[in-house]
Amino acid sequence: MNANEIVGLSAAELARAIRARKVSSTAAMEAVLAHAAHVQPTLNCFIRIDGEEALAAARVADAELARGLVRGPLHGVPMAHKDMYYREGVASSCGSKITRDWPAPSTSTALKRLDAAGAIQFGVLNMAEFAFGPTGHNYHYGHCHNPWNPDCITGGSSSGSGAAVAARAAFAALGSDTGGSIRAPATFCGLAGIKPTWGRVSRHGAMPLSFSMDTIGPLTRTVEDCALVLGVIAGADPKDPTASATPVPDYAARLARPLKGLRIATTKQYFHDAMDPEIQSLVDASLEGYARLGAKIVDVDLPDIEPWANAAVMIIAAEAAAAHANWLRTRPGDYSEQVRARLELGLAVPATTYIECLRLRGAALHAFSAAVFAKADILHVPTVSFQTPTIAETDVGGGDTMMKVMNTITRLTRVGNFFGLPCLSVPAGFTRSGMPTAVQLIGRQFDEATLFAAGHAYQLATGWHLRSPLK
Amino acid sequence: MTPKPAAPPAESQLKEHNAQSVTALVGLVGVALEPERAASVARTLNAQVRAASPAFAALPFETEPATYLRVSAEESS
Repeated sequence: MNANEIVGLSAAELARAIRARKVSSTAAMEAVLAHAAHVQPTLNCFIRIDGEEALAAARVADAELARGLVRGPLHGVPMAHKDMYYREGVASSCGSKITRDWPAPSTSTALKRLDAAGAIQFGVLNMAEFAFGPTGHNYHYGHCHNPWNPDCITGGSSSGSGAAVAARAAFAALGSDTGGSIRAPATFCGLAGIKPTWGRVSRHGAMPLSFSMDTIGPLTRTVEDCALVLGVIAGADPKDPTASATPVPDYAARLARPLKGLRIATTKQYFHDAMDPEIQSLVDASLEGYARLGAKIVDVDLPDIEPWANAAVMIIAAEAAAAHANWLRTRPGDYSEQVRARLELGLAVPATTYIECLRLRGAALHAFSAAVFAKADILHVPTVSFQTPTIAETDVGGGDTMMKVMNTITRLTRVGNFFGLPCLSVPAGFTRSGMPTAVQLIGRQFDEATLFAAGHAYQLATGWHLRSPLK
Repeated sequence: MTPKPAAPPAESQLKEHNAQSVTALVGLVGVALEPERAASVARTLNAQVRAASPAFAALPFETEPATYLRVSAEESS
């Protein structure tokens, strides 16, 4: 297998090939490092590549395999992650100027679990400054560019994760999602991305943005890879009391469930407001695809989402501002204009308003769940309502226009964080301009397995994930 | 003789956030904001609060904040 064929494999395919001794971890690492170096000048998706250490780790993985030792389901698979997952003694920039030289005191639980499963981290990926931006702009490390069209945004905040995995410069990557930061780059870069149930994955050692909305999950080329990586990182953690003890199913083993009998809800409310006609037609075609696979499509009548979506903005802003208050007092000039302006909004949210927003959440979750899950197993809705904008179009600085643009980009995704429900972004085809788009499948709490089964069946039927941006 | 009812409390003059109120509030946590930045924050915050307010008005008195969301599988099906 040559280098191009190797980087074209999904993470699961590569893991199987390594275990079957068809490809060595060293060969995979050499291939992905060479490809990463090739795409980096165009895409700027990496903040740092640790080639020598990663190659040494790959040689160790091959030697272990030769002795019959398989660490886990990702043995020898090269991965890179959003630069906000701490590794002891190593600086995590968090996309910022402020923490770029700050050595982390301990390794994040997500990275420890990936290490234990045999994955090898070879670099850290570009991201929005402090994960507080949905476009992929970064004024400290340079903007990240979309592999399908470098003039276009990748989406954010997991911008490098989206660009690198789509460009075949990483086999899978961790992102994080507080208002859509996994699903937006998955959508704009043509990937699968799971925002798991809040509490499904430990947040220990991951940079905090908004503690009651933050979630951790992977961006991958296939839904199978998403299931594989989430299965590794999910589960209870004594270092994060908010990590749920709800048992983690074997997601990969449940992928092959037939869709016959699965009830998929659709709605014309909120999620379909002001849709671009071409995106709408791709979303409609996606729903028809699920119906052809045997799913039963049911219409549901949603409660009024708009107030909750606005409450979500205030929760994120207030929690982020509290986390950043010390640096806002002492180092305001070290933030980019946009991030500083968004944090300042949070400083001004009165405590009463913030708590009113939190008081909405339980009732909102019950009302939404009653409306959707009494009739269906999954809600099928778009992730965005518009075509992929350019980097220049969304370079809006920090004024009033900026907040409108930011809120428009996350309008359909941040409600998933408000509810804490799992949301899987699944590619839904390409526009006439050649850019990918996606739908999100929203499920019951801790029912990621049903989302994966539906998304996997759809991918096998459509093959959108097999298209590559590489020329 | 029936006592004269007390006058209702004076209604707040401040109906919405403005640059001055934002500057004062943010100043209390130690952050200085220029007037233009404070005015921008006030406009955005007012828009967000207006949009969320219908839901606030419908909240029952007993509602507790759900920082940590939990709905059992039975409840959501």
